[in-house]
Amino acid sequence: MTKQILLVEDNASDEKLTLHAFKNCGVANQITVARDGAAALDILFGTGAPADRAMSVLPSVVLLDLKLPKLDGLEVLRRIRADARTKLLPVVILTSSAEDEDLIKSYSLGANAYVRKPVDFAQFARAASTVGLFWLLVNEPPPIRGGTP
Amino acid sequence: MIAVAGLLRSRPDDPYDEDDLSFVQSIADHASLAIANAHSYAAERDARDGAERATTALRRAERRFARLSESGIIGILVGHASGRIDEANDAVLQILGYSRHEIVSGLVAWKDLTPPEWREGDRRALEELASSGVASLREKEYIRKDGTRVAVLVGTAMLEEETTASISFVLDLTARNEAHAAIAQLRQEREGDARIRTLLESAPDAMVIVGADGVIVLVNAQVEVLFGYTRAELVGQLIEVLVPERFRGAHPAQRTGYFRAAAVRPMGAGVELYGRRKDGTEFPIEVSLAPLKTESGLLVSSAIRDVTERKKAEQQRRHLAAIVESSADAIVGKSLDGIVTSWNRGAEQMFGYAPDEIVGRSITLVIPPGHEQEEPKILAVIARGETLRFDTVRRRKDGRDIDVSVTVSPVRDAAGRVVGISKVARDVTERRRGELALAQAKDAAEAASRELEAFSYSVAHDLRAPLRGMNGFAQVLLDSYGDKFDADGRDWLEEILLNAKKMAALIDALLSLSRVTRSDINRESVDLSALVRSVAARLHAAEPGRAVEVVVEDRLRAELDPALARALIENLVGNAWKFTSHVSPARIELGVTEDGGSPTFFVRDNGAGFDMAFADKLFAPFQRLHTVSEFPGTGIGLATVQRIVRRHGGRLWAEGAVGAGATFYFSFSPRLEATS
Repeated sequence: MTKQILLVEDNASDEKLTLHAFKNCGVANQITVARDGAAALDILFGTGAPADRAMSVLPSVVLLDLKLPKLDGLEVLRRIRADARTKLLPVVILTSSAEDEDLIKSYSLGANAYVRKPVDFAQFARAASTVGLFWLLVNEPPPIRGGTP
Repeated sequence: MIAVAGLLRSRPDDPYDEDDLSFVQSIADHASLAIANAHSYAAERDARDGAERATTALRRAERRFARLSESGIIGILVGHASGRIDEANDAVLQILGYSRHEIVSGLVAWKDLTPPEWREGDRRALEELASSGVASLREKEYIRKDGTRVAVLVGTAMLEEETTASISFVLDLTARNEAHAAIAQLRQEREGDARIRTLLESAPDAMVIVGADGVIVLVNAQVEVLFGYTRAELVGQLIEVLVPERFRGAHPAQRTGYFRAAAVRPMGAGVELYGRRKDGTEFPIEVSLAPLKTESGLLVSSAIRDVTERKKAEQQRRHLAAIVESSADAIVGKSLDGIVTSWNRGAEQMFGYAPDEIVGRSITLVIPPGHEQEEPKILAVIARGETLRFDTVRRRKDGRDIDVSVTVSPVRDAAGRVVGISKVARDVTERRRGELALAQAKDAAEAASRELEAFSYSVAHDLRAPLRGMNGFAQVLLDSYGDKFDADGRDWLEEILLNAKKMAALIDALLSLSRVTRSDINRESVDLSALVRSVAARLHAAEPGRAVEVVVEDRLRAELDPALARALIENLVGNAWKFTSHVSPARIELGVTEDGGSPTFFVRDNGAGFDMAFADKLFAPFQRLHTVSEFPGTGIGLATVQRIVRRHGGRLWAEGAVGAGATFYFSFSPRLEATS
């Protein structure tokens, strides 16, 4: 099974641009997208409606937007860290905000990285591909304690 | 003897003294003896020298006797044992008030002339007369014709030729008795005077004794001290000498009025009285008047007390009372058992009770249910002599409860004993209300701040996303389909990219401005000189081609939040850097001047400057005095600086002229306009 990225992103444009950036660096087919916080948790824990695609294994990294419908990014992060199965799962905050408060809360809840999405697409594409490649190829993930329940 | 008697008579107004009287007595004695002698002498002569010589001698004796009898010095009467009076000289008639006819006609018996209480003496005199022929001199009284009595000295001898007749001489003692009385009175008066003097001198007050005519008779030493006159200067003067000129005119009538109905009473009740010293100065006095009945007439004693000190004390007391009365605070006196003893106007207004409704009643009247235990605690603290301050609730007469701040202290007497309680209460209901309003305003401000935060959050997250889309898709279009556009088409795409980035920059500037408003201030000593140098160095690194002289005064420090201080300097120096881009050599300066003793920092440049007419627009967000093509920017930088300075309670202003550079001053000294 190839390594996966879970992208949690409610903005369709951002999703498209992110996928475009990943495609340019050759990781497009390894991306799963959740469009709100609740969906992200359903995918990770295999809960929710059958329509939701459950991942067979945990992703190598979760790219998590902060401002999300239903459950916001910080709450999703808190639940990921609260569950034994996902406690060590790498989570990268990928957001528009550069507010100190968001940075502090994210790191406090155990985010592994915080990346601000630049308006300039060239910079954005560079950031996305760097993050994707790093977590998929460079980073050694934590040992997997079990698959999907 | 006659001459002496006459001499005595010639001064009837003078009181006789003891000597005079004994002299008169001896005259009487001699006269009686002389009469007796005359008779015995005549009898002896008759027997010895024969009838003729006897007749001559007798005639002479008779002449002498007649002379004595006629002289009126001594009353002489001849009476019978039967009570009939045979002879009476003029002196006797004068003493008794009868005419000679009434006497010698036998209408009046000498026995009847004697009042009953003297008859026993008469009886003894008759016995003595019968046995020895002479009755001793005796004092007695006769009843005059008009019924009044007259004191007399009487001597009697039997007439030899008639054993039933006797001759008496009568001396009127009225004058002598009057003299005695006068002497006794004088003595009494002298003693009285001495007593009065002693009393006067021992009196604590200045005492002035005045006669009915207003003349000062006596003064004591205190008068001399009080009025500055000597005793000699006052005695004999009118009392008005001690009265201030402006009251002198009315005074005699007033004192005459007093003499008409003299009684012990204070003078001029309800009127302010003043005394006048010898040197003309006046002082407030209090006068007590008392009538003094003496033989020489009615006198009035005035006890005068200098009340200057008391008036001063009274004035001070009134002053203090006025302060207490005018106080908006309730000032209440209580006894040690919590009974209200005084109640000022402040208390009346605060609690709604009039003084007569609460004085004499327990203070618990204003203590609402649930606070009953406070009063015993207060009383216990006061009993220990301590003062107590506390905030509590009290109930007004109308039932409304008020928040009060109370100070309770012990009231001590001169000996230091706690004898009462003073309570000062301030109605803090309004203050409470103010505090509440303030808290509400603060809540509102915090709510607004939270809203702003939420808004900023939205801006940070949501407003940027569409821009990223615009920019991203335009970029994708350019990257993937760029060869399908001609040069103009590619320019338009570039414009889209550029505008999206500008918008993003504006949003970032807006966010940083709101961050200044939202962030907490943690002051510490910040080295402004080092900050300016570091910012300038960074700017220089970014644009190494520019020639900018940066002049920084050393060791300029201010108590500021470090992050905001950095933003402040970055904006000011960045601003100067930008607006000197068209001049060479450019110069940026940091310095300090004194403004009323407090440091005022400035950042000065020799750049484009500005028209002072637009100075008020400098610090408004998004206001720009130049086009973006002249000088790029968002119009947020100086607005940010303004907010940073204000958040530190400081003041920011600018001076400049077009083409002559600009100077931005900022000062953190407390000033009214800094907080407005």
